Order: sequence, then structure tokens, then C-alpha cells
Amino acid sequence: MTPKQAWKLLGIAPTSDKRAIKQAYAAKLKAIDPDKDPKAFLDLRQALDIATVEANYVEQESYAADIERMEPGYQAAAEEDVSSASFSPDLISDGEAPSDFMPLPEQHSPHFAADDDYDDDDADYQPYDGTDPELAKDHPRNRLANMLWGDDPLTAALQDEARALYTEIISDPRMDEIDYGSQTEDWLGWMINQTMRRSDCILPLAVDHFKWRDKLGGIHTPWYAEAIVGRARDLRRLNALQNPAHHGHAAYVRLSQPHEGPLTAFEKLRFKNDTLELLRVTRRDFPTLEWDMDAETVALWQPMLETQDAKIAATGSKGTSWWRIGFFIYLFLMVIGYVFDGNDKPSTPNAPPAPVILPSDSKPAEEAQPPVLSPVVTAPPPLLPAEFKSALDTIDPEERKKLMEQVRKALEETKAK
Amino acid sequence: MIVGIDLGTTNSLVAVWKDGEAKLIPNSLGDFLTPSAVSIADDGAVLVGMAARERQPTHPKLTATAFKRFMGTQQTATLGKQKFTPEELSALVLRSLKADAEAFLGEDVTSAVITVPAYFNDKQRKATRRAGDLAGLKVERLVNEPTAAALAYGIHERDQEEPFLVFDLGGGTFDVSLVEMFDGIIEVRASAGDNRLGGEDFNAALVDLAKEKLGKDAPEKGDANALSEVMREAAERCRRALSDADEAEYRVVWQGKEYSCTITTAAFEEKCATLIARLRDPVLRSLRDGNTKVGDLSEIVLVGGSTRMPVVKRAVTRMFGRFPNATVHPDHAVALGAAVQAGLKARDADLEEIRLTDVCPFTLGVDTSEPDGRGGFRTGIFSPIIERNTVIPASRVQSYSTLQDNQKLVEFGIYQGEARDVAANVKLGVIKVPVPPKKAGHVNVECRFTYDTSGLLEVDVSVPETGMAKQIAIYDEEDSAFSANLEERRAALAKLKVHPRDEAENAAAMARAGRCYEGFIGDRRDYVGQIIAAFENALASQDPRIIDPARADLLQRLDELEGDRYL
Repeated sequence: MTPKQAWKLLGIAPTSDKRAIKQAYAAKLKAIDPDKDPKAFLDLRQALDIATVEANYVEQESYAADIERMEPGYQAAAEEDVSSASFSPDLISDGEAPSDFMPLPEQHSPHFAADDDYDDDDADYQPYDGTDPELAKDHPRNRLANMLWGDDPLTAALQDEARALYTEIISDPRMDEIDYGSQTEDWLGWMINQTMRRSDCILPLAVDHFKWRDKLGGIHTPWYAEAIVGRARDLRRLNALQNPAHHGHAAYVRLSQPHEGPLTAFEKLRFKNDTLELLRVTRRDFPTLEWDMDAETVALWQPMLETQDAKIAATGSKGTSWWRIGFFIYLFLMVIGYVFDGNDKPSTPNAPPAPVILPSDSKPAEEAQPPVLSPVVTAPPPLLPAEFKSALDTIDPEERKKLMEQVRKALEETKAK
Repeated sequence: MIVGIDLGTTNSLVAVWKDGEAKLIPNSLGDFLTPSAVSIADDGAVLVGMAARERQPTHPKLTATAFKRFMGTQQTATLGKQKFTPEELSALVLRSLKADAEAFLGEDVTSAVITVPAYFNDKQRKATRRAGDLAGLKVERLVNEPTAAALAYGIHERDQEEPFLVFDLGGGTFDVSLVEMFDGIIEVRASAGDNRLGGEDFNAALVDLAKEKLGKDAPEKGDANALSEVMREAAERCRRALSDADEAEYRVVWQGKEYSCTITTAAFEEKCATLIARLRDPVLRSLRDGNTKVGDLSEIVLVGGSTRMPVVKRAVTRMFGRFPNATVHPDHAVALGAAVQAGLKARDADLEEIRLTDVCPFTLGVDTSEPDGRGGFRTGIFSPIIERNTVIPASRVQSYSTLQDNQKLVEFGIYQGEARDVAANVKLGVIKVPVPPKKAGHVNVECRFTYDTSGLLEVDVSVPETGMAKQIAIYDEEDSAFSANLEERRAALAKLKVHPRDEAENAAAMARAGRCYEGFIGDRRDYVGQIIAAFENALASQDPRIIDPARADLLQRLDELEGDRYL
């Protein structure tokens, strides 16, 4: 739907008066039944939406001309309808019409709080309540903002002060009011996000207080929440890394301190795996932590990381752990061998324990002996199967002798053959 | 005749648009509020309303309450031997309301406008619609509860220009709507809510608090289900007392032993802090979506029984920095608004100049995938098509393209929710469409969502290249299974013996006396026993001239014993 069609559907000439647009919409809506004719309603609604937006531009001098260019016949349509006379671009006198010269917008310092001429429409940029710049200067929000803008990390004293200001801001009784509260939340989110590293001292406090972690994952989640929660996670990791007991501590210290000259061969050999591992994990899981490292030191290790990454991409491993895999295979075979050994044949009997020489007042040797597995004594394998033997026993001795003779003869014959 | 029905978690009401105004219809006990409770009486008849609610502590296995919280789920309640779905239980309540309306109006009631919480999802809305069908009512339209309340309020304040906010905290659900009026158009600008926040949750908090106070002495033996019902009933009573006083006694009798402790407002308020905090988010969301500041609001209209709690009132006052409007009756507004909507639907001459537009309070969209840059795909990313708080009826279209070379089929999962990951949203259905095999990204598929005034979603998918088009109205498998045996289920419900309407008062009185008998010990229990015996004697005479005064006497004595009965 074009703007021209929208105005026509509403039955009014283009106007900047939003109230008039609503009135026209209301009159038209009463003529239709949205339940029975949804199409008509959809069109009317779209016309309303378009007209409401267009209304902001109708008073611009070039509006009619622009529309005329896109949709010839627009002016004629506008003039046809005389019900609303508020739209008449010709009436703008030369003096009021904007000239060609457009002054550049003033440069605002980040300490926008003191700029009392700041655009009031933009809620984000209203950091203080009240319009008195003198009063605003003392508002904790502005003091906090002034403190947070900057380059170097805050000193411990300043951090305490920032925390105090933050506490002052969120313990304002008006925080219970939904407008003030949500606006403050947005402002703090924006501020913390813009000034990360300097705002690290209050960041985890704000994450817990405003429960930003719970708000993640929505399609309407505030834009700053994700970044701030990510930074809070990275800060926890940073805390862990600063503990000397942490396995990554040494590598972190190495990466966060400036390095004199190029890396030595010893360093390359000795620290390569730890350092590159920390760098890799950091980039994958804790991206903002790299800000806390020394950029130049990181740059020294960067080429090695890239070669290693390329190697991993090519071979699927860092290339140094083949012997480990081999070792594990060896261990695996050992275990398997042990298991089968134990089950298939009896193990050799344990050697009798070496005699223990005990002091005369000690307990008898039997009690002092460490418990040993009782040796498994196996009987020698029988010459004949048991059933066969018992069958022989039932035959009387005479016949048995004869039978044995025959067997012996048969055996000797086969041997001779 | 179309009636307006407020089908609530704890209480339900029915109202009608008549002679140019909305009128509430009293039930057989003469009350406007009918408790949403169903119970099976000893003789197998179905009791609905006050009598059923009074039987809750004494017959927990034969009684169901707060089933609105399970609408749209597969959960069933077993009363005696029979299983009931939440829809069927709601249908029983609706049927009782229908009978009340028919008795009051003297004509057949065939259709109704039923209210649902604004934040009810598609499944819950469908279940409500089915409940109406089962009760033999044609559901003309489902109206959002805060919208209905806004109608009831707006019809009297037609000249108002600034937007106002409806804050609806009921027995089980919480809704907020931002409403604007101009020239007879009542326009909902934004709605938000919490499906599982209401008076029941405050009861649960109070029970927790009482258990803490009682410590080791808290009753714990015996049937846990029955015990929790008894505790909850006591909490409800205590919570009402806390509305008027700074402290109240929490008293419960379990297995012939009395347990009691004192609950102060301060302790209760502390316990409710998390619940109160949950009120904030929907309010903020509706204000933001409606692009409105608190300063621009003309009124904050409180609706729903739970807004009577001083805890909630204080929280609202703090949140908005001003006192809320108290001219609307918190229990009646929604039903009255439903009646206005029924009048609108019937094209009543008095409402010629009124139009209502509502919004879809949640985002609707499809699941999509995108390449992750390593040759795979990240799946299950929600792509919104109808953004939340779009005016309904609405129709929006989005274009998608294929992901793989020579892909043959495109499948859209249809979701409702606000999370970027579809797994956290509610799945409404699936639609598949075949596409011509081509290179990835070279085939476009257009997906159009159309959402009508009653909240029915239609999805059209078309492939412009082949002219192939598919359309589904979103029905799940349960729906089709349901429509197949609708008649069967309706017949099964009709077969249930219903407790006679003209004896409802006696049944309610007896149920209440029974509860009191179990709720006291010692002399007072004996006393209740005596008055029950007296009333039973009166009942045995079967003469209304004897029964009526006897019942009045019984109720008066019970009032003296335990304080006024509440709704």
C-alpha cells in the first residue's frame, strides 16, 4: 500500500494531526465488521499504520514533491479533499522554510549529562532527573559516568568509589517505580557495556541485581545483556586464573605481562603447549578475556598458534601426542592380557614368604605375616579318565591282566609301525 | 441468546447484555460467583459450585478445583472411579452456569462468549473452546480477560483519552493489558502476562510459611493429598483475614488434633517477595511494547480477586508511584466485559458505536536453520512472523529459502513464544511442502501466518516457482482425535447424574457443615454435630417450609462459629 492509497482509504487529506488520523480510522472502522471481513480490517489497519508514520513528514517542505515524484497525482488527490486544510505546503513562508545550509550537529562529550540541550526524545540519553545542570552534576549517575569513561583500568580506591556510587543508584527508593527502575536498568546496562574493563568492578553486582542472566535467550532480550553476562562469565574465569594454584595461572601471567624482545627458543620449547592452550581456550570460550592480556605478547605467540591450528586442521591432532596414544594402547593390551591370563590357566603358586626375623618380644610370626593368597596346588593330571578307571575296577583281576596285555601288545604294534 | 462467561480458576461468573447494560446472573444460591469446583456426591451425582468447594477438604479424592491451571494438558483428575480431563471439568462448570442463565432469563442459552487469560497459549485456548462445545454452548468468541475488564470499564468512561492499564491478578493467572480509547474504539495496545501466577501461589507461600512457623509440630502423617487440601483451605481463610488485619491466625485440624500459629502481614509479605517480583516483568513488557510511560497512563485498573490483597496493592502503588483505580469491582469486571462482548457479537443497538480491537500477546513464527560456517547447520532458531502485540486479525508473510543443494522438501515447525531457541517455545504444528530440486538458496518459500480475532492461526506455505501451495489451520493430533469422538464425550458427560438444581442450597449447606465438623475439635465439634443432626431431621421432612428456616438457622450458627462464608 502506498502512502497515497493509505490517505485515500482513510478518507482524509495528508495531515500531521495524529488525532485526526485516529478519528478517520475510527469512523471507517465502525463501518466494517472485522470478524466478517478481516481483509477490509487488515487494509484499514495498514493504512492507519502508514498514515501514522507519514504524519511525521507531512510538514516537511519536500514531502508533497517526493510523493508526487513517486506517485503522480498525489497533490491532486490531496487538494480534492477539502475536509482537512492542515496540509498545505504552499503556505510555508520563505522565512520559515529550511534553508540549504544545515549546521552540523554539535559534538557531544561522553559526559552528556551536563548537556541540557540534549535530545529529550531519546530515553537512553536522559541520565538524570530534573533539568538543572548544576543539580545534575551531583547526581550519582553522572558522577559514575564520569568515573567510568576513560582508558586505564580503575585503581582500587576508584573501584570502591564506583561501587559506592552504584549502590547509591540502585538503592534509590524510586527504583521500585517501574519507569524509573527500567530506565535506570537500561542506562546502567548501556553504561557498563560501553565502559567494560573500567566497569568490571560493578559488572557482576549489576548482573546479579538485575538478573540479566535469566533474561538471556529471548528474541526481545535487551541488547546489552548478552555482552554483559558474557563479560561476567569471563571475569569469573579471570579470578580463577589469578589464583596461583590454577593450572593456567603461569600461562596467564606470561600472556598478561609485556615481553622484552622476541621469544627465545627455550621459551618456545618450554611454554609452547600451556600458552597456546590457554590462548585457544580463551578465544573459544572467554573471548573478552583477551582484553586483559598484553596485546603485544599475544601477538608474539600468534604465529605459533596459527601453525599449530593449521597442523590440527590437517592431521586432526597437535602431532605431539602419538606416543601417548601408543602408551594407552600398550596399557590397554596389558589389561586385556592380564584378564585373560587370570581366567585361562591357574597362576603359578606364590613363593613362600621370606622368613621374617622378628625382635624377641614381638608377636608370633604367623600373626605378623602379611596376608598372602593361599597357593593353588594342582593335582597331577590323571593317566586315565575317572569313568574308565571305575569301569576297569568292576572287571575281575584275571581278565584285567589279559586285557592289559592285549592293550600293551596293540600299543607296541602301533609303535613299531 | 448469547451470554458472557468468565471461566475462572477459583470462581466463575455468567453475565448477559440486556436492556442496554451488562447484568450478572445469580446462581441457585443467589450468588454471582460460582466456585469452579466439581465434586462427586455420595450418591454418585455431580456437584458443582459452592457445595463442591466445601467438600474439598473433607472429600479430596472426590473433588477437583483449580483445574483451569491444567487446561491444554493431558493431565486428568480421577474423581472416585471416573477420570476427567480439565476440559470436561470446565464443561461441567459451564453447564451449571448455563442452567443458571436459563433459569434467570427464561429462555434457551445456546452460545457464549468465554474469557481466557490473555497469555493463554493456543492449546489452552482450544481446550477452553472444546469445554464450551462439551457443555453444549457454541463459543462465539474467546475474549482475553483484561480486554473484557477494559470493555467493562471503558463502556462507562467513553470520553477518556489517555491509555489505561488493566492489572488482572486472578486465582491462577496474571495478565496486564495496555488499553487506549478514542471515539468509541477500545484498542488494546499491548498485553503480557504470566500463565502460572495467582492467588493459588500466594496460598502455597502461606502454607510454606505456616509450616515453618509450626516447625516440628506441623502435621505430616496421613494422606498427603488430603493434608495439603486442608492446609490450603486454611491458608485461603487466613489470607483473607490478613487483608483486613495485620495478623491472623492460621488454624488447621488434622486427624483430631488442632495446630495453629499466628501469621503477620510482614512475614507474609517477605515470603511473597519472589511472587511480587514476578508481577513486574509483564507490566514492564506491556508498557514497552505499547511505547507508553507510566506518566502517560490515566488509570491503573485492578481486576481479579487477588488484587484485594494489601500486599499486591502496595506493590502496585510502589510500581506505578500512585494509587490504583478502585471503581471497578475486581471480581465482576471480567464477566461484565464478556457480556458487553456478547452484546457486540449480537449487534446490539446500544453498542453500535463501540468497536474493540485486540492484540496477539505472543510471538508466532517458524523454526529455521543457518550455516554455522564449519559445513554444518545450527538448527532450531526461531524466526518470528507475527510479532507479539500485533493487532488482530493479522496476516504476515516471510520468505525463506532452501539450505541444501537439490533439497526436495521444506518443513516448517510452527512455534509460539519469545525464546530464540525454538525448544523453549510451544510447538503448535508442522507443515511440509515439496520444492523443485535446485541449488541451495535458489528456491524461495513463502510462509504466511493469519491470526483471527478468536486466536485461530492459519498457516499458508507457497512456492512461487511451482505454484505449489499448502494451507493448514493449526490443529494438533489431539484435536482431530477429539473432534472424532466429540459426540461420544458429550453423551458421556450428559449421562452423568447431576445434582438437582433446587437442592443446591441444601447440598452446599450440608457440605459446609461437614467441613466445619472436621475443622473443629472438642465441644465445638459436638455442637456442629448437633446442628447437623437437627438439619438432617428437617431435610427428612421433605417440606420446604421446614427445611428453609432450618437451613438459615444452620448457616447462621456456622457463621457464628467460623466467620462469614467467603466466595
